[in-house]
Amino acid sequence: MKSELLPLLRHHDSDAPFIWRQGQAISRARFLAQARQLAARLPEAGAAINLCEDRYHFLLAFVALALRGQVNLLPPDRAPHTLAMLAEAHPGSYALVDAPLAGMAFVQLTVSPDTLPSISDAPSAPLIPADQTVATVFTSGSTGHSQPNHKSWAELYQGAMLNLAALGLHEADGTLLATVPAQHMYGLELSVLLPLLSGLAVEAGRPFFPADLQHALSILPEPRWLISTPLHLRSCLRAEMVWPPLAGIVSATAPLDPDLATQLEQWFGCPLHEIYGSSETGAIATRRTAEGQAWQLHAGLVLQADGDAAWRVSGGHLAAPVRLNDRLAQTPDGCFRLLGRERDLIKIAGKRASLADLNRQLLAVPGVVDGSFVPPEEAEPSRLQAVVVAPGMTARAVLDALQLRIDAAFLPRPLHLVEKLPRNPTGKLHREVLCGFIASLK
Amino acid sequence: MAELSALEQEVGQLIIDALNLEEISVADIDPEAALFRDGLGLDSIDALELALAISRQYGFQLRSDDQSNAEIFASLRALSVHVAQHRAA
Repeated sequence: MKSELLPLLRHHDSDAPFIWRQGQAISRARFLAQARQLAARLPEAGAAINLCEDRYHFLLAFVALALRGQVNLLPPDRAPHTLAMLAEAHPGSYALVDAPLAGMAFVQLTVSPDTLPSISDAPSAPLIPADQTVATVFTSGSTGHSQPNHKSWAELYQGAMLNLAALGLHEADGTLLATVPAQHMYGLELSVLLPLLSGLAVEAGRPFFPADLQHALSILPEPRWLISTPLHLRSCLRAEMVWPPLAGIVSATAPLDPDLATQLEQWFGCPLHEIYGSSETGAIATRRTAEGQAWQLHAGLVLQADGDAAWRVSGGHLAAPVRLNDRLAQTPDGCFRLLGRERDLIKIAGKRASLADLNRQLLAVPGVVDGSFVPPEEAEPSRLQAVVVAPGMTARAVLDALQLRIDAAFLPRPLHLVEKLPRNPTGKLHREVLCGFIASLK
Repeated sequence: MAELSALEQEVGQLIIDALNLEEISVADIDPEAALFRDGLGLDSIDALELALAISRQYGFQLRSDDQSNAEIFASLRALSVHVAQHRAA
């Protein structure tokens, strides 16, 4: 059967702003002409690492790669070890960057809109095969052992339609500002796919401090939506600044405390919607957190029990059922509540890591004889601790080696150097014993 | 190790208090060493926390578009210079 074709971007009003950059608008027609030129300049390859942090650059690279039938590899973090492993796993791949990174073995091409002259004709919107793999995103935020998730254009396209419907944005023509990286599934869906497939325009920057967000929002045309995380939203609230009017806030990566959600709605004077999803599934549910804790599944998706306390989601944009990493309980009205994560998974600042993987990375540090991260009490601790046996090494030296391998959010603080771990006779480390051991160090 | 100015002492203590770095004292901070990555190993969660502490103590908001984060947080010395230049009179 011949594959169906789907548009790569919405092109109804080609003169409408598509990207905003510091008060300057780039139209859909200009963007598309530039993406086509970039596509023509790309080398032959099966895949390329899209490392662009600037969303204008990211979008140019994303569309250009899709036009060439090449896969956007979206690394979970920028640790040199992660990038090196990703390049190694894809022979012949190269990277598209804002500016070249030092010390990388792979070929890097700089995405620079200034070198892509804008052509005045407005070609029709490109169509690509629905089954084409457009992007590969990765599950874990921590290690080189993260699992790739291959996303077809059909899955991303249909997922975007469901997000637009769930957030009530399908007819909207406002602007988006995002604090999340485009390489993560949430950032990809909300700050890349939404503008591509709706009338929404996106700001190119990735503001960091509350004052950066305030400034970026103030120069974006209304109505404006803020795409962010509990980490950033909490810091915006605590900064006690005056904010320009917002039409809505979207939060994801970790559940938001209902009190905080209510405070945010009051302070910003707009609704706040949370999104629930994962790299494997994309966004699958939303809730207006200030009004209730239950999540509403996106239209067409179905939950099914999968053995003991596990769940699978299917339908909608998903080609096949996907097992969820959270424990949840269905409510009679077809909604669900989250009950907590599986033991091995932890989240810090929205990044997900497996304790087993973190321990593997720790033990792979040259000079480390034995060691373990301490399983935290909460699913989302603020920091991790680790105990390490590394004769002759300082804690600093172990951390320096470790930060080449894992995301900074998971670096142990503190890292306790010890002579021996309190393993039981079978070599196992029990959490309770480990916690008592650490308490005795103080 | 280089001597710390009075403001560097103060900003150093602010960093330790804001980020719960109990294991170190101001005297342990090399004023020229990077605060993030190599030096104290701080990250973006810390940067947001530190920005809040700085706005409360010195009355101004950190912005990364006038100067990149990397420059502001290059070292205790660089951060202290930034504070000296931007603090409310």
